[in-house]
Amino acid sequence: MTARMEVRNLSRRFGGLQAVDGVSFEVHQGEILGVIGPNGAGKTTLFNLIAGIHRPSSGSVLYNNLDITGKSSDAVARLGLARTFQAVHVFKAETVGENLRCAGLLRLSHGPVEYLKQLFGSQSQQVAAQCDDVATFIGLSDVLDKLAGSLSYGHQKILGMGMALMQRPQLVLMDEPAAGLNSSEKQTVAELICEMRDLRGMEVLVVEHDMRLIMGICDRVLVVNQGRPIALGTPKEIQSNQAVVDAYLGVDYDFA
Amino acid sequence: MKKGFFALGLICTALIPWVWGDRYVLHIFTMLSIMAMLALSMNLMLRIGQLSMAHGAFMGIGAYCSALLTLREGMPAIFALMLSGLVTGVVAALLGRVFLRVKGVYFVLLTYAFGQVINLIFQDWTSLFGGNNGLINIPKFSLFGIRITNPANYYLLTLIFAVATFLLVRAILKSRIGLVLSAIDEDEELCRSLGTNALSWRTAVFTLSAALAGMAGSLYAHHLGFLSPSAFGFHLSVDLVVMNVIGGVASPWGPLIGALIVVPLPEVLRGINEYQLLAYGLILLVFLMYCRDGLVGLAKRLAGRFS
Repeated sequence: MTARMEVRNLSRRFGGLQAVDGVSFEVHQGEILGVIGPNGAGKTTLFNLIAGIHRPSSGSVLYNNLDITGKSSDAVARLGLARTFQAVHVFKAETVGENLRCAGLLRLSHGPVEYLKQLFGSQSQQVAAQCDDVATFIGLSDVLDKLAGSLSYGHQKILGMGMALMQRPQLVLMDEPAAGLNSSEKQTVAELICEMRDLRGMEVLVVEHDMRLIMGICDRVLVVNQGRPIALGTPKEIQSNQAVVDAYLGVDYDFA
Repeated sequence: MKKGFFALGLICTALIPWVWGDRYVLHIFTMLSIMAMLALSMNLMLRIGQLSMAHGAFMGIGAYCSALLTLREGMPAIFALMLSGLVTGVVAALLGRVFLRVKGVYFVLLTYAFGQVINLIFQDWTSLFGGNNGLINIPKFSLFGIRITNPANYYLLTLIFAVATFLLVRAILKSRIGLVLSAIDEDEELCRSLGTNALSWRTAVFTLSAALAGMAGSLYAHHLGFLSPSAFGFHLSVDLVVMNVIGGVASPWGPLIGALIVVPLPEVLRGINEYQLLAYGLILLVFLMYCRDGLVGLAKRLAGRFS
C-alpha cells in the first residue's frame, strides 16, 4: 500500500509545553485512520499542524509526496486536503443549498485572479450539479431550502461535512465529527465516513473521543499520549495494547 | 418602485447646483461628489471588516501625486489622475500584504500610524511637497485639450466620477465577489478551510479602495488649486466612517446618503460655529444608539411597516 500522506517526526512546542513530540505515521490510500488519546494528549495540535493552522517546530508533512509543511490552511485545502470542524461552522443565515453552493463557489474563486479566470469558464454551472450530488450523499437533499441555523446540531455538522466535500477532496481531516451528537446522529456520521472511503475512494483522518465510533469505522488507529505516539495498529490490536490501557486508566507507567 | 423614488430624489439633489448656479453651492456639491467617492471607497473596507485610518493619507497621496505631475511635469490632468490612482493602489497593495494580516484594533492603529507618517512627510519634505504652505497654482483639469475652468463643468466631472464609483462598488458587491467578501467577514476560518485565500481578497479590496481614494484626491487637488497637509489627516478617515455609519454600511446607497448629510453640515451649522462639533457628536451618538443600520436601514424598516 502506498502512502497518501506521510507525517515525519512532527513536533511543536508552545513555550515550555511540548504539545506534539516526534509523531510519525502514514495515511495509506483508501483508509480511515483514527487518532485517539486522553484529553490534552496533543490530538488537536497534531490536527492543526497538518491542517496548516499551526507551524510545526520541526518535522514534516508530505501529501502525495509533496512537502506541505508550514503551508497555510487555505493552501493545504486547495491541494485536496479538506477539513471539518469540531464546532459547527456553517453560514447560519443561509439555506442549506446556499451553504453548499457557497462552498463550491469559494473553491472556484479562492483568490481575485482565480475569480477573473473562472468568469470565462463554465465551471460555475458545474457547482449546481455538484451541490445536488453532495446533498444526496450527505442525506440533506430534503432540507435544501431550510436555513442552516434552523437545522439540528447534528445536521449542521453534517452540512459542514458536505461543504468540505464540495471541495472534491482526496483526504478529509475530521476534528471530532461525533462531538455533541446523539447516538443516531453518530451512527449517520459513521456511515457517511465509511461511504466516503468505500464509494468515493477518499482517505479520512479522524480525531475523536468517541471510542465506539473510532473502533467501529477505522482501519487503523494511532494513539497519542503526552504528545507522543504510543501505539499504532488495527482497532483490535489497540484494544489489547497494554500501553494504551495504562494511558487511559491513568496508570503512571514510569512507576509501574 | 421605492428605490426608484430614492434614486429620483438623489438625481434631483444632484441637479440643484445647475438650477441654483451659485459658485458657493457648486463648490459644496463638488466637494460632496469627491467625499461620496471616498465614502464609497471606505464602504469597501468596512465590507471586509477592517477600519482603515489610512484613507485620508491615500487621498493625500493621490492629491499630491496628481498636483506634482501636472505642476512640475506638465502632464495632462486626466493622465495624472489615472496615475495617482495607480500609485495609491500600488502603495496599498504593498502595505496590505503586511497590514491586513492583523485585524481589529491593531489594523486601526497600524493604518493610523501610516497616515501620520505620510502626513509628516507632506509637512517636512518641503522641497517636494511645499511643507505646511503646501502647493499652489495647481492647473485646472483639462480634457481633450480643453481646460475645465467653469465650476459647473468641473462639478459635472466629479459627479460622473462619483456615479461611476457608485456603480462600480454596487456591481462588485452584487457580484460573486460580494458573496465571497461577506463569507470571509462572517467566518474566515471556514472560508480558509474551503481554500479561500482571505489575505489576497482583502489585499485586492484594500488596493481598489485606496486607488479610488487616490483618484478622489486628484479631483480634489484640481478643484481647489492648492494643497496643504492638514486636509489629509486621520480626521478625514473618521469622517468617512461616520458617513458610512449615518447612511448605513449594508448598502452602497448608505455612504452616498451619509456624505450628503455630513459634508454640508459645517455649512449648515455655520451660524453656531462653536456648537458644530457638539452637533456632530450628538448626531453620531443618536445613530449609534438607535439606528445602527443607518438611514438606509431606517428607510427599509419604515417601508416594511407601511407595506
